[in-house]
Amino acid sequence: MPFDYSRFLSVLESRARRLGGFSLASLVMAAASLAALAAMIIVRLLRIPLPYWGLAAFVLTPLAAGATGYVLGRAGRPRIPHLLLRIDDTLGLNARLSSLYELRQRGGSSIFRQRIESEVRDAITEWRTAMPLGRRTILGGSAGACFIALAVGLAFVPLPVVPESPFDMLEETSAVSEAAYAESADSLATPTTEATAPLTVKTGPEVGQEADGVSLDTPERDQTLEDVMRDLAGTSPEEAVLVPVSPDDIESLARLQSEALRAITQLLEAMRDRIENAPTDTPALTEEEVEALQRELEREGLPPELREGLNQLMNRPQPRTVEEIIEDLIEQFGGDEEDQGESPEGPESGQPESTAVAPDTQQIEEFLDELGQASEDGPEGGGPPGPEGGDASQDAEGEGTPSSGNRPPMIGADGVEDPDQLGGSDGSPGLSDEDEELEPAFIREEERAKIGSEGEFVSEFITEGVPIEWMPGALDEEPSFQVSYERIVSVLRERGVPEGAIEIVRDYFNAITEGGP
Amino acid sequence: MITERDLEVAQTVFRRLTSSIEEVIVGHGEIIRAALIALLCEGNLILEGVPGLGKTLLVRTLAASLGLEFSRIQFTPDLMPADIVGTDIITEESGHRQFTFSRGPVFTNVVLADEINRATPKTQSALLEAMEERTVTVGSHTYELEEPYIVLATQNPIEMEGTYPLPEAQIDRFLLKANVDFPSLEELVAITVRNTEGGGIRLPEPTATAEDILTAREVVREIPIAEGLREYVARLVLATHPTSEHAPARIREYVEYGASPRAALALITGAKAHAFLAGEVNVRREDIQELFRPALTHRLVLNFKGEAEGVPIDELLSNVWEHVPEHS
Repeated sequence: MPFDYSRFLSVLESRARRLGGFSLASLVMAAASLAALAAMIIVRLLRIPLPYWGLAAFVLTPLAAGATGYVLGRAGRPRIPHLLLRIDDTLGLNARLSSLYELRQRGGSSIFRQRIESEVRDAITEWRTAMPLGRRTILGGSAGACFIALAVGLAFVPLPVVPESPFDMLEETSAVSEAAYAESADSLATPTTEATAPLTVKTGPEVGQEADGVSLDTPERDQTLEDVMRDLAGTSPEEAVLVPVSPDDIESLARLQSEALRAITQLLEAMRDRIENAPTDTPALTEEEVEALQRELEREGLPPELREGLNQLMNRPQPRTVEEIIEDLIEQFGGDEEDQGESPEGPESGQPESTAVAPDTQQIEEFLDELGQASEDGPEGGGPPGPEGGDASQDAEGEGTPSSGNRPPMIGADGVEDPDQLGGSDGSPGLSDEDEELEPAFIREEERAKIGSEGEFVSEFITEGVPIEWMPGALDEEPSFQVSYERIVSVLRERGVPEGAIEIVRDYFNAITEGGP
Repeated sequence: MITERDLEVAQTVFRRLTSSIEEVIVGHGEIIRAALIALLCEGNLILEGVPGLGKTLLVRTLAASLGLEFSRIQFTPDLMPADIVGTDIITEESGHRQFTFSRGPVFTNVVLADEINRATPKTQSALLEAMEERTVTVGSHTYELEEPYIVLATQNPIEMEGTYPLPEAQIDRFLLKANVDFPSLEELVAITVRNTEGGGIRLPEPTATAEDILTAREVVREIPIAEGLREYVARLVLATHPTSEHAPARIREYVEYGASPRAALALITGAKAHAFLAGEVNVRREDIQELFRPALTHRLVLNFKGEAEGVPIDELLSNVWEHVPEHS
């Protein structure tokens, strides 16, 4: 079979063009994909919204560049003599292929041509191995593919939402809390309107929207108090400080729910009294009572058990059954109101523990205690607690120093709850009658201690609930005082204050007494 | 048009010629091959070595094997150009006196210019035309030299006393330069045996004719060389120039002038002849490698720094060989 050198040259040139196309394509694609990756990084860092067609552009642009490079590389004319010499060197043909090409270019017949053709006929079967895909081509193509994959992957990687600074986050949370507090205070000032208002708290972005003046009434994001407490139950105190729900929100929600339960209880008691005095042949419920129950059922955030009981009443059963249901509901939900609002004693004074609402309130209190402790342990809570927190502990101790009469019940800035407001702590009176009236004068205030030359104010501030011992001074000197730290520690331990918090309290008093004992 | 038979005959003749020379000359295989390459390429060869290494014997043996005319010129400081090329003398014939050109020893086939660097440059230059143009001009007449023609010159190392370095123009006309090294122990023993036993050295009988040489020259000229190898040769030659971008650092530092284009011609034609002598039908990369030093070593001119530091030219050529890539 004669050696078809022309066909060999044709195949060789075709392969050389292909390799040239691949080589340039890989180079161009690697460069383009690297640029795309850099652009994607910039887009992500700047948080520029990227539509799907933009993502497709990030992928298609390097591919299009590679395709263009392939076309251009393939269009280049390969240097056949050099390719032949390379094949010669690779296959050990002693430059016969390239010499044969030289003889063909020279034209005519030659004894050397015949000899060379006979020698290379069998040797060039493996010539393709001398023209492999270049290492640079493979590397360039691989790098390009990796860059594209990285760029695409980067487009789907969620970036963490990082506030500008922790202080900004705290300021935002504080602003939201104050806004929510003001709103709840306003709503409490108008009980009739508030009675039909949904029991909701705003979380996450809505809170921020509220701070920006955006309406809070976004139904799909509303949460009941049970939802909030259920979420918080699975949250550690350390995590809880990061939950964008202020203690004021929870407090107001608890108060609103208590009001709702109280109103329902009163309605049920009125129904019970009417049924007891009514003749036996009268219907179980009057139309007015049914309408009243219907209105109460429209409230949001009611405990499920109560809602179920009210629904049973709505079905107008026999009177005897109505009485039983009413009694059950009053026993189940009405007792809490008495515990919270009417009993001068706390839960520790022998009253039965509430089953539906009181646990929520107590849960709130415990959570807020933990929240305050976590805040103190956290990066922003490393300093001593503020003066309000000191007052709260002082008041709760019940040492015969009642809390300031003109100071409204509130949650301190450090997250420590005022026991006067929520009740259930040692010596606290719980929800008083005055509290039940929910006067509009419920205004948040902050007292700030003045330390320095105004020693009189400091003295009053310290002596409020703090176990100190007054020491007589010299003739022309004011009497001085000494704080009984052992007494403070024992009181705090009795109240179950963690050891870490005790140390913080101790540091606080050390600070305000100019060095301590 | 070269036929298969021409190729066969030429290769057979030169195989026989090589064997014939090697029967007389002990060792020096590369010198013999260089001489045959110069003969096949219509070039000239300069042999460098100390006296007594058999340079003259080699040339005489080659001439005897070829069955060509041979003349020997012993270069001395007082040798005049006319002593080489010839001169017009007054002759009297039939009562008429006339000037008749008396041919010098250069009119032959094989010229042995022994110790060429002992003559003055003026006398050395008398060979220039004969070596390159194969002609001799005396007065107003130009005489052609008979083919095949080859000048085989020997020279002592230039550091020896009483020598004149060859002009660059002349030394460039030597196709190759071969250094004649001292024989090894075995070779020296063999030399003593051949020269002291029996009837001494007997020059070989002619094994080739002038026509055989001319036919072989045509064959060599037809041997193909790949374009890639031509470019490779060109890159090698350019790399010996200190101003070239292909030159390695040592060339730029120590070389004043690099090899001329004649070096590239010498390298390619010499590679062809080398391939022919090796029985190949095309030039290989190793043919170029074998001829690289003999073709270029006498064409590089060191600068002052290179001369002062005594930089070996072979070392510089090694740098060039290693520096130039095989593929562009």
